[in-house]
Amino acid sequence: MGFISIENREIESSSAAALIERSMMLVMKRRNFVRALVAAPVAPRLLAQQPAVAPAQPEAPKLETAVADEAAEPRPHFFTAEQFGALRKVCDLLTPGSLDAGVPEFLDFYIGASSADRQHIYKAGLDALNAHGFAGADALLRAPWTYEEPADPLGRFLRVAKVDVRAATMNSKQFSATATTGRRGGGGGLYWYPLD
Amino acid sequence: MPTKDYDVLIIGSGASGGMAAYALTKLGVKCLMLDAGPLVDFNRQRGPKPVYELPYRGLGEPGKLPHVVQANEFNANQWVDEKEVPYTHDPKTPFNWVRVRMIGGKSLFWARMSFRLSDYEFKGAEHDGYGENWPISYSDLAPFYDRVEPIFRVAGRKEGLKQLPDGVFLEDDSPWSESMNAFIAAAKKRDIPVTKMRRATGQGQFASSFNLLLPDAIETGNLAIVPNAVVRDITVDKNTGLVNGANFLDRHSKREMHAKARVVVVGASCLESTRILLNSKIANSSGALGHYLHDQTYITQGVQAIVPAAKDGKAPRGLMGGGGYVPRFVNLKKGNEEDFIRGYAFDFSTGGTPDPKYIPAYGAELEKALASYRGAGVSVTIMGEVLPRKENFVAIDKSVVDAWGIPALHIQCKYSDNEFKMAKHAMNTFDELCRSAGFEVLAKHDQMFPPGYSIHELGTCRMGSDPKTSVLNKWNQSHDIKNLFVVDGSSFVTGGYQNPTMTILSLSLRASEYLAEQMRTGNV
Repeated sequence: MGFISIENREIESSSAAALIERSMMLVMKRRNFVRALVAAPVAPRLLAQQPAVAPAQPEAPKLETAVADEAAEPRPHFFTAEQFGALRKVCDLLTPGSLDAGVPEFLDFYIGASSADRQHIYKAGLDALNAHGFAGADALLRAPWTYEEPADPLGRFLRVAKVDVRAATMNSKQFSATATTGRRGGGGGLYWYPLD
Repeated sequence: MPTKDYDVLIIGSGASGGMAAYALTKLGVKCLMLDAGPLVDFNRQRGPKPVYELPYRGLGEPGKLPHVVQANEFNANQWVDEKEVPYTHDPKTPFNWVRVRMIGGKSLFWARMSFRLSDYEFKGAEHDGYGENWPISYSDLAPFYDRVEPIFRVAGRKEGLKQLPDGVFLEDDSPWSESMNAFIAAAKKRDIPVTKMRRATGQGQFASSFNLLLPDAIETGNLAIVPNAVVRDITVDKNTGLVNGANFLDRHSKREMHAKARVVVVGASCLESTRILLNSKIANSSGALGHYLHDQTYITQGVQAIVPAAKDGKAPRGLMGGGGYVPRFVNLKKGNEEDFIRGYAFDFSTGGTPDPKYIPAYGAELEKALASYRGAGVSVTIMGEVLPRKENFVAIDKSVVDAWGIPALHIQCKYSDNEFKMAKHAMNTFDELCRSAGFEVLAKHDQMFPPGYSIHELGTCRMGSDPKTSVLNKWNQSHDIKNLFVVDGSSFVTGGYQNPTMTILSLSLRASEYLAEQMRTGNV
């Protein structure tokens, strides 16, 4: 259930960037105006008489930030070097653009933080690929969907990885930045902050 | 109007508690409402975020809310954290207990599907001999549905179906799309009715106690609401045996308080209400408290189909779009029964895109198939009646307490053969209807979520005529303690296949007006 459906809430990143730029300019202009307002001397008595009116707040700047994946190297540590090598190949096979989106590195972290069951599915699948090669993967990925989990470790892994790799690709900032017409990605949603 | 002298203490501010406050305060009854959650400022509590800024890229924090399938990384903070308010179950029989603690409760987030029960539910035992009848019939509750639906602005289409009584609707006369017409024609050949979804349109972004009931109640000057008040138990006057208030803790500071009132109305949600009663050790001379837990089985994407003419973006205008609702159509006539009793409903829609997992392809080929199927999908959610059985129950687990030291619930619930047979029948029927309508079926399954997923938990404090086998009488009033009422879904005898909110609201309205009259005449 981790995959966030993004198709209906697309944000065209280039226009979003333009919007941010425009609003930043407005903020700058407005901030100067606000500063002038605050600087104007106000009689203390007048303030005391009007407690309902909040004093003008200097508007906070909206700073642009980067996500860590863009600015730093992850430190893979969960999978062995052999498993990680197979994971890179699987990602590339399953979803175009997943390597550019740093999906193997993300999954190394994400699976490392997940339940032992999920970790086992990944490790067993990657070990099977290293032991027997990728020849069997194609047939498993083309098998019709059934509710029951595939019996063999590679089939189980591929089924989970197909969903995870696609979601981690489409939800990445890298994918969002390169999304063009006809390619969907980089969506958003209403985030709930922790309840007060 | 805060005071320390109230006529009625209402526990819970969702659909049932909100309706109790709405009805009672209008009749001049002074009410105090406690809710375990905060009053949320939705503009401050939520904000837009791109998915890539979430720490787990939208895949969700591992291990967070393992029982809440509805949770995702955006809305995780909207649900009750099961580490803070734990419950227990046998690992082999999970129960997905999905909770919200805020002023307005789950009515802030419900899917708004708004149906009436019929005498197939109220008098189910008469029809097929299973279980118990309700102590009321459809005609007892109909006048209250009539008043609730306009408040919630329920849109729907009148059909004259006995198994799904019509309501007071904003008439939905929107046309069907061509793919819907094809499905309806296929269904008609088998005498299966299809109607428009019946949905509470509400006001603005909410169809909730929060905006439709509580503001009016506050307006009367007769309601005080205390948020962040976590009720531990209901207190009893030792001399009279009547309830006289409740102990609660402040959600933040855990400061202990007692609220006093002449009457207590419990509407804390099905299982929380029962938990409070069990922890209070009251209202259980029948031994039925906690038992007969039921909900509805849910199978999402039970059948995933494609309308061939809509592939590759070639759908002509008017082919795709919209959805429908198929109410129960099985086991309505005697002598024509299936190998299971009761029935199920379909909630289906056209015009979506199938989930990638159903498409046996990968890489660039998968993306191409998805582009071809975009907007061509047909998908169904199957909702089935669950038999209320005594062995499905909740009890207090003394070994576990929540963040406020209140003993937790143990939930023991599993589905039976009747539900499994019904699920298979439903899947196969929808599959056949799709094929008959000319759709291409990609995948189907009959695997239901664990009990609780529907967020329609019902029973555990059921009504009945016999005080030996039921907790409440036909007025939602405790058989044992006459100034104690329970007005939420825990009072259900059977739940049918229909979403329960309209029935919960109508029962609460009916019980509250009865209570006000009893108080006026001095009986309570």
